[in-house]
Amino acid sequence: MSELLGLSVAGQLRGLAEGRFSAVELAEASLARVKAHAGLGAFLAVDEDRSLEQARAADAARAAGTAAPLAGVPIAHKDIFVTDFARTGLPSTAGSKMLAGYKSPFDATVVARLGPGEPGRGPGAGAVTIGKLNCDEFAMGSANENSAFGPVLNPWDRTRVPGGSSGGSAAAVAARLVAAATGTDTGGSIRQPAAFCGITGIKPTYGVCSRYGMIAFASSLDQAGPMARSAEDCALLLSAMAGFDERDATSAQRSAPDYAALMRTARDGASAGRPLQGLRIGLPKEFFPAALAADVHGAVRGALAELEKLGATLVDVSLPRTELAIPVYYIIAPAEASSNLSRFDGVKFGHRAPQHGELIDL
Amino acid sequence: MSLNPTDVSRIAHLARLEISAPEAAQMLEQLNGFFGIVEQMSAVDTHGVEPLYTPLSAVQDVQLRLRDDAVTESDTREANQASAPAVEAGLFLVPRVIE
Repeated sequence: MSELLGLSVAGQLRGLAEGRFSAVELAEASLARVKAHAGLGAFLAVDEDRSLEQARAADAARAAGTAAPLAGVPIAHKDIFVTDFARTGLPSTAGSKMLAGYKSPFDATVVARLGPGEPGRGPGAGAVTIGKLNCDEFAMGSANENSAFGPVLNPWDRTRVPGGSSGGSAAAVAARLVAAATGTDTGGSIRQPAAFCGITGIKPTYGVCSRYGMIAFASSLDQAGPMARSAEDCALLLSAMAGFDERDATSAQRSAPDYAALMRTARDGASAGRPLQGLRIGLPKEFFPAALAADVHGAVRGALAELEKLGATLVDVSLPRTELAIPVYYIIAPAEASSNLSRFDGVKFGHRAPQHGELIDL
Repeated sequence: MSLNPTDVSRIAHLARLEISAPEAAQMLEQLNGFFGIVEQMSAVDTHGVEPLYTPLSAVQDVQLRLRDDAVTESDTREANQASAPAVEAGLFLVPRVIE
């Protein structure tokens, strides 16, 4: 593996800034590794020429002193985000044959903000798009076995699932094909595959990232988020992804903070040895049922001990309605999915039977 | 609430799904199991609980957003219709809907 791909997003940015390697070299390393590990099933589409074109533009911007915050960092998008076909040459399928052949005329807001930006809406962060990532069909699934284009395998053990629905994103990051990727989470679709593949993923608060151009599953729960190998890398991506977008009616009306800078800012009263001094972490007792697997419980307890050592205070709390979360989810999510998927009726896009008589035959 | 085999056949027909008798029996069991999960909600007294429109209202004042009634988007009809199966004079073509 090229040592460039062992670097974090932050590490790649440092190397690019110091001129130790170019965005083109990074993109070439990533594209080669994507090809070498095609058997994972993580990627659905790449367009090498367009990716290298973006990388050359990033190098030129850096040489001119106008590099955007993520200029030249290779990333990939879950194929639930639409990508402008004319710009990227990449399809947008949501892991479904229902959308095979669809050519999106625009970029999702998250895609534009991480990449080239949009005319009249400000510059983007300049990341290079390597390709589109496999996922469960319309983001419905939790093992990435429900993609019309085949399953994704867990790179740590190919006999196991990577989780889902953002399984392609999690596998691609864990296998070092890219240092970071986008995912979406409705009922665990970033957090669960991130856990299965041993990486870091965040489902931001609803409204933080625009849903414009994100193929909808359950609109009141869907949220975009970053997936990478560290919290710092997720913070770097999230700062570029977040922020108000008037094209999403539920977008939060606040600007995106610089999450990475906030992470590096020392807390009041904190010391070098105890950087989390003053931070209180609630442990909902309902999340630790007797049925919790011993190894999971052990890993969580281990992490909590580490946080405590770093100065955090652990506080037992109760969320007494937790048991209702699943019943509520199973009303809201399928009902909204039914509404959202009814648009795929074959009128504006799709396969049309040659011998259709009435609407039902479409 | 629970479904019977006739309900399952009717739903399958509406969804244009062809299912065998054993599949229908299995689906009936799964659907009724699902209703069992959902019924846990009816045990909760929601009287007087304010609807939560967005979790953001916990941290900031959230109001329905209105915008000026002005044209903000350019004409992208051609690009939007490029993937359509049948188009004529800028309109999507569909088969006859009303008899």
